[in-house]
Amino acid sequence: MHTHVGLALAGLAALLTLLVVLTAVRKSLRTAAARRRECVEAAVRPRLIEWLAAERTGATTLSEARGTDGRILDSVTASLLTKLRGVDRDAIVELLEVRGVISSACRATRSRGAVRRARAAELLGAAATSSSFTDLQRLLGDGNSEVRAVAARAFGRLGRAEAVQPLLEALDGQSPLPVGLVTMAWLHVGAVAEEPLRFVGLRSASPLTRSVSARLLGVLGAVGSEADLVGVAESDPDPQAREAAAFALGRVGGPKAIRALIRCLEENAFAPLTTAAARALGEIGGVQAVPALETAASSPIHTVARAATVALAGLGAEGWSRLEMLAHGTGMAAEHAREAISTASIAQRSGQRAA
Amino acid sequence: MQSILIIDDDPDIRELISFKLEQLGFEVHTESDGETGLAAVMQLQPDLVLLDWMMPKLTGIEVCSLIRDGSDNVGVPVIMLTARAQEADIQRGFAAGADDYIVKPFSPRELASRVEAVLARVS
Repeated sequence: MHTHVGLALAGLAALLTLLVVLTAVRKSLRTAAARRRECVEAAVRPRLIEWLAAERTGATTLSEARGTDGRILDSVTASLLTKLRGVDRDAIVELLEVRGVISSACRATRSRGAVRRARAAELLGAAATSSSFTDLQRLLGDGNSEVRAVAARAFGRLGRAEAVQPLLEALDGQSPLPVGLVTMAWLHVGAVAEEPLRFVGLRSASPLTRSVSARLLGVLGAVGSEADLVGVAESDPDPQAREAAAFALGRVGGPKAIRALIRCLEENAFAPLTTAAARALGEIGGVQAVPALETAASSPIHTVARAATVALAGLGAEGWSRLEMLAHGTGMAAEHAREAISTASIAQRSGQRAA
Repeated sequence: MQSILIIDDDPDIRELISFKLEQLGFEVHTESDGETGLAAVMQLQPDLVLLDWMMPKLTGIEVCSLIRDGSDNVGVPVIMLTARAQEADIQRGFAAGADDYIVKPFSPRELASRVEAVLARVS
């Protein structure tokens, strides 16, 4: 009996010793690999930077690096993609293309491992070469949600108008992407997204797509889309799309938008729309909005009343005098008016101090 | 020879800008955090400071404000070089006393031109 227990304990001790030894070996191998990487990086980085700063002479030696040195060079080179722009960034992309890193990433978008696909998408987005368009578009419908998210960001970074339509479809597809993510991707696309958003997004059958497109046109400052946005704010069947259009008009609207926004305010059918219209009128300005905002300031809905009083504070002497009249009254409208006056006064004092 | 101090926690950025500016004939010093960077401004009295915003110990905005509030080298030109690209960030940078503001990702050539332009304006 004692012999068996002794043997079992000895076996256990041997197993533990083996585990400790294996762990130590693994750790030392990792440390050695990290040191080697540091050494190679320390040698490679100055060469790369020297090459970049010295108008790209001697590119051939960099493009010929192979094995571990080559892999580390590629990693260091790729890390510069997000830090630079202009001709230096173009040179980095060219070097990655010559070294086959871009084509390898395109192939990796078909890899079985989700992490590999996501990494490939990240690199392709940072490089933003037109050759990766199809591969990234395919990844927008990837079975893995993380990969889809990385692909959407990367797709936006391509900065091409053609990227807008697939991103619009990704909002309502079988595996829809979160709205925030698609919005960020569109912001990366930039001003070239304006036309597709106006002519495809705002006319989409999907209320969500119309709503997101309208909001984005405002964020992008698409002044040319004012008439389209007025149309959505006035007559879109979806109240959220109208609300998004009202928000956008606050950013890009002019005199035409004022009339439409006053109608939205007076209609008072959907509180978020009324609130957005009040805010937008405050941002655009224009004394013709004062009477409608004064009425909205007495709304029983807190957000509407607050937005209306804040807007009045921004409408010059006429708006300010109505706001003061409201502040001298009683009830919630008076409280909102006093709050708006205080906030505007504080902002004015801060502005004077900064100046 | 005019001297430039680069304060940035990213070694790639420090190395790349140093190389570019040295090629143009500047004497370049580098620091990797706000605290040592501020000390270097006082000690080295550079002709221009290139300053990152988000750094350990002291942020670039704090460093810039401290330079402007100090008695030594208070007028040294400062160029902010940062990934913070919002309108409010740029306003804050100038309010802290920056002479110019460059957003990352940046073009090293454009940066070099701006450095030369700021130095020409000051001298």
